[in-house]
Amino acid sequence: MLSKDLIMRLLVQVGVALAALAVGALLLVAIGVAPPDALHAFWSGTFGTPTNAGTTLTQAVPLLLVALGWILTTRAGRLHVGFPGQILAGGSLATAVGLQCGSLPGPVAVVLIAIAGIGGGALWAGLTAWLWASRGVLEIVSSLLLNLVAIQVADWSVRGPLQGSLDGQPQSANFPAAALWPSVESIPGRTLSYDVVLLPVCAIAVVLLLSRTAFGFRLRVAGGNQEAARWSGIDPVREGVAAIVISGGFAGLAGAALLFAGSAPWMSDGFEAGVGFNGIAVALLARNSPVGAVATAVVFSALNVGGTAMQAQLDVPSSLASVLQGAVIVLVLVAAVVLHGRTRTPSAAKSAARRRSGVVVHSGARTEEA
Amino acid sequence: MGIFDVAFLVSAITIAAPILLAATGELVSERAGVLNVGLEGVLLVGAFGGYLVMAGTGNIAVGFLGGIVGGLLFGVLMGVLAIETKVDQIVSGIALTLLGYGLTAFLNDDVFSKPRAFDPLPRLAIPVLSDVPVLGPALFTQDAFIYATAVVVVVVALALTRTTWGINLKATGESPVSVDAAGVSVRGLRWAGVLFSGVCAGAAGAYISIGDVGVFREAMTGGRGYLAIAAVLFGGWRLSGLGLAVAIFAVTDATQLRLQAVGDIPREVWVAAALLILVALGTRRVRSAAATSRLDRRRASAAGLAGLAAVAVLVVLAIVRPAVTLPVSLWLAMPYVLALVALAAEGKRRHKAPEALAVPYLRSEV
Amino acid sequence: MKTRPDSGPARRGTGTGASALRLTGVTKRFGSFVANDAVDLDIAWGEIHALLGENGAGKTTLMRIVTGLYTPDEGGIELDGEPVRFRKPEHALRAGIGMVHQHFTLVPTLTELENLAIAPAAVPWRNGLTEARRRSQEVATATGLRITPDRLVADASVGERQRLEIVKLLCRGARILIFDEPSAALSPGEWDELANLMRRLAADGHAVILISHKLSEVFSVADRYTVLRRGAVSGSGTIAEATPDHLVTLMVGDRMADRPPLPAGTPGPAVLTIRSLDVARDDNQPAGPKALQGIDLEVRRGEILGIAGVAGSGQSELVEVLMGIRPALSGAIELAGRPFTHRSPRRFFRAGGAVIPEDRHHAAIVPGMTLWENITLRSLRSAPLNRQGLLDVRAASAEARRLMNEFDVRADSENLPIGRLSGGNQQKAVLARELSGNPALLIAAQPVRGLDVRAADFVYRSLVAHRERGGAVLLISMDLDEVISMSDRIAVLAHGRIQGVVEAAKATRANLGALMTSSGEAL
Repeated sequence: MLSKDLIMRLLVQVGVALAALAVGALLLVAIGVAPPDALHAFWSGTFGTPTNAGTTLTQAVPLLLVALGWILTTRAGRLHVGFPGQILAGGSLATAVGLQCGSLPGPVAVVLIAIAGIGGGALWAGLTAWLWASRGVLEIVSSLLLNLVAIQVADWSVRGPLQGSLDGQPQSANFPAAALWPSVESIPGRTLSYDVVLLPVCAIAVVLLLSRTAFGFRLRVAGGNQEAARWSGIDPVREGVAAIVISGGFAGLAGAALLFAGSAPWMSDGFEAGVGFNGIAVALLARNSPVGAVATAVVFSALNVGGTAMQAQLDVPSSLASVLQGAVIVLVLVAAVVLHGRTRTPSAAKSAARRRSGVVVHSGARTEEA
Repeated sequence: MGIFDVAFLVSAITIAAPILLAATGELVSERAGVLNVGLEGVLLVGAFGGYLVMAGTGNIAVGFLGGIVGGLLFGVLMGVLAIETKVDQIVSGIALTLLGYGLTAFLNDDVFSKPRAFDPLPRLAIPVLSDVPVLGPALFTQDAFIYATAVVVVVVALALTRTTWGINLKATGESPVSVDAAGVSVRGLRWAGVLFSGVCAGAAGAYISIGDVGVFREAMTGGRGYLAIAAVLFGGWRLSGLGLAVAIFAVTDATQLRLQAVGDIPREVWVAAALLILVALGTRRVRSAAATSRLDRRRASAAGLAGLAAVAVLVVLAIVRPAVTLPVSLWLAMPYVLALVALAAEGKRRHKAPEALAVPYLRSEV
Repeated sequence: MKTRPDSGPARRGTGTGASALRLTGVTKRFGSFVANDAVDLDIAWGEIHALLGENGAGKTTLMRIVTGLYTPDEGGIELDGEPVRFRKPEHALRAGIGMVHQHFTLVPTLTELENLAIAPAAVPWRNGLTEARRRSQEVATATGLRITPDRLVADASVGERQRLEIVKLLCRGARILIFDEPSAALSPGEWDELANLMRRLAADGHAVILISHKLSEVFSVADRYTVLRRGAVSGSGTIAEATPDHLVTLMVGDRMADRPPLPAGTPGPAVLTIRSLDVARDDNQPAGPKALQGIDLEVRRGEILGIAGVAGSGQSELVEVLMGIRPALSGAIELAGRPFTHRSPRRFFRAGGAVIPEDRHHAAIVPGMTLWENITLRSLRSAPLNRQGLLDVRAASAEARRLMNEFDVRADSENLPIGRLSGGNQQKAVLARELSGNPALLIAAQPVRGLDVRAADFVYRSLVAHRERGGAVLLISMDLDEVISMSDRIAVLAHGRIQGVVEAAKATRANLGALMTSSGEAL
């Protein structure tokens, strides 16, 4: 029975992927590019060479980290979309630390930078959490606004305190070599960073956190039914705050990874490049499963990398990737409904269990009568 | 008058109008129980739709229609997701945002190899009224969109309070069961709300692109959709509160635009900020007089002290006039910061969100 | 705007006895479950017809068919002798069938008049307020039911809301009125008023259907009855020729509802002591009206203390204060011999408390999580199942299996989401969780509400077994018969005050009812 369920889910997943491909093909035809050419360019750009495959895998890491953050917060019954801001905050702090790490031994520098990234993201998320928990501001709204603030703050920091390029470009100085995260030397271009180990490690860590620890259990109870949590001695607000802050940490780490395992060894204002929102799409496509998110993160990363390759080779606008990503979410939502036969999706059930505090939207889990 | 002159007012109103229209649509939709977090995406589609049609026809009125159709399409998508398939509205909103960003950027790259620019909407002076000093040039020498926005807001205000339709709509967001029991279609009202919101956001988006500046750029709405949502929250789901919120955001935005050019922060800004805080404190006092709770009162007095301290600092700043310059980016962040401060200061407020906001209606719950 | 039905109740009035609504062979299935099995029902103009049955007997489904929410799989409905088919609630409404729901369909943030004005609008800019005002005045002259048009519904009392609900239906031209358990939230005085009103409506020629399982109400107001059992009609007739015993037999089958009398207990020292407890109705307004005032209570070891009272007398506030979810204004609470001052749910459980919340879906279970996780919801978070934050999942599910066995929770596997289980099994799982820690005090708020007879019996026996082991039970119930049969002592709670404490042996419906009404002072 369970396996049948699983097969059904996989089928729907494949269906979504095919439908997204169809949308992509349609768009390509619409702009006059033959899909086979595009597919060829796409393949060689993503997995065709070790160099490109390295890029694809490395770029999947930040996406997965954001997706894991989203999964944790939704399990705790909260929904925030502050990942872009948290990536920027984490990345900025990591840059500030990383620039000072030139004389430290490599491993120490890497750990320090990772901690700085996590700290920056968590602090930024802490603002959202505080606004929600003590001021009753809907976390989705505050996180959206904080994203916009973070964009400007990052913009300012690469023009002000962190500005370090010689020709006055809005970007930081080059990171010292010791601070860069190590990568596999045998691959030409050294595109495969060792941080790809985070893909399996973090996904499994989140799975274990949720299923095998008391903290994860409290988180799930708080997200599953806030009132029942309160009635059994769990403070859903505390768990919600913890979840938001941890998700910020994940996003902050993603910010550090984007910079220190990325292609350019400096911070510029646009380094976030849509990872924050795409990470959400990654989680949604994986139906909020941490392990599934590893696969979908690679798929999304391939879409981005392949999109760039298609632009280079066939002059297809690289924003095709964003269209596909948006379409994927819509398809996933519809598929969820198909799968559950017009009942509630997991996230809908969660939203139904959300409770209002002040302006927080809620709907006190409605009990259906017999 | 220093930086707060007539041109300042004009620019504030130009900034306010699209946010106000989008927020009014969002308010109607939220009163019906549908929360569209993807408003930013809808604005973008409206902006691009307007630009696209304008480029094709060269007629600005038809261009606006294009924007409205774009907004309507996304409204339909939101309706299908939120009302028909009943998926989580916040997740649907995120999908709309991403789709809006992606689609407009993609089509813009593809259709327009070179950006095109058009003449924005002409300003129409209303006879007699436009001759009134200060108010005349500010309020009655505006473009057609701004007049139309004013009309829409008034019509919505009347419709919400004076018509059966408005009562039904408000009831739908509060208690869909009651509406259903009265034989009124919950689905129909929610669709109406979502589509109206789509039309408003589409028109507002078109104004941002072709109406105001005459060009389209990727992600050019720059968070106005989020500001509109914040305004609805801050305004306590009431039109009057919403208007106040939009006014505050617009004045901040206009101020920062001015200050970017000025450099040093002139004295008027400190004085204006001090006055603003004093007004806020005053209204708080009136409200807290009504509040009976001890806890509330203690909190209010703490906030009052903080406010007075801020006023004192601002007065000192106004007298000393230090040569402070803020970098442009930080000025740009100002409206959002202010929106956050406003939301936080409101705290857990009296006007609650519509009870059934973002809750899909399932009839078996009757 | 729909037109008023041309055959108004006034003209119909003389024709009492003529069939108003006739259902023949109505069957409704949900999957393999038959909710209504070939039900025949005949309602005449000018009568009050009681529809009786236990929870789950199919009353609600039948009424949803009558009001157009469900369409029957088989069978037909006749209105005034004409076959009708309702595909939507609007159709039933237009035909003059209206239902006063147990949970009112009113919008609290609108005024009473605005609530009346909620109606399909043919033209968007129509303003129905004047029309609604005129209609409500017509109803007021015809029936004497007056509303306060410009008051917010949120400010109206329960009785006033019910009146508004009835006015709303009459304004819409309802001729057949269905009352779904109308007394659930009413005080005895308010019920008398409602009974009078029902009689007046019937005398005017309306048809009134009263859904209830309280025999006293049925005998005081109804003319005829129909009893449902397991979806089918088990009997019908006129009230004048029926006896309560007969109706009970029809409702529950051969098995009598009477439980064996509670064996005499040997109460020990007090486990829970409450002294002069005051609680505000709204946490944020300590100076506002009070939900509880001067409560003094004592629950002893080996005793079940029942709290009797109509819904909204302060029961939920009492439970929430004891749990530490709601703050108290003043007063002292002692739990298991120690002052219980800094209250929180965690401290409540640590001090030896346990609770079966009133609203199972809302507060007791996490429907999306598995059965074993729900059963070990609390024990999983402390040693030995939790070692330094790591969970012993295997031991926990073994423990859950053991408890499922002990408490007769029937499920294929402990890994099923608890939301998929029946209400009775869910409640048994909650019971297993709460009693497994052998608490000093168990608060049971309406523990058998919505359960079938067998599950209710199991819950009842578990509570008694807990009492035999020396545990204390605070039982909260809105059902007088249930309180009388299940408690050692009964405290009557009305208008936020304890009106008296009676030994169960000496308690009768009459003397408890008298205590409930004795001090009607409004707060």
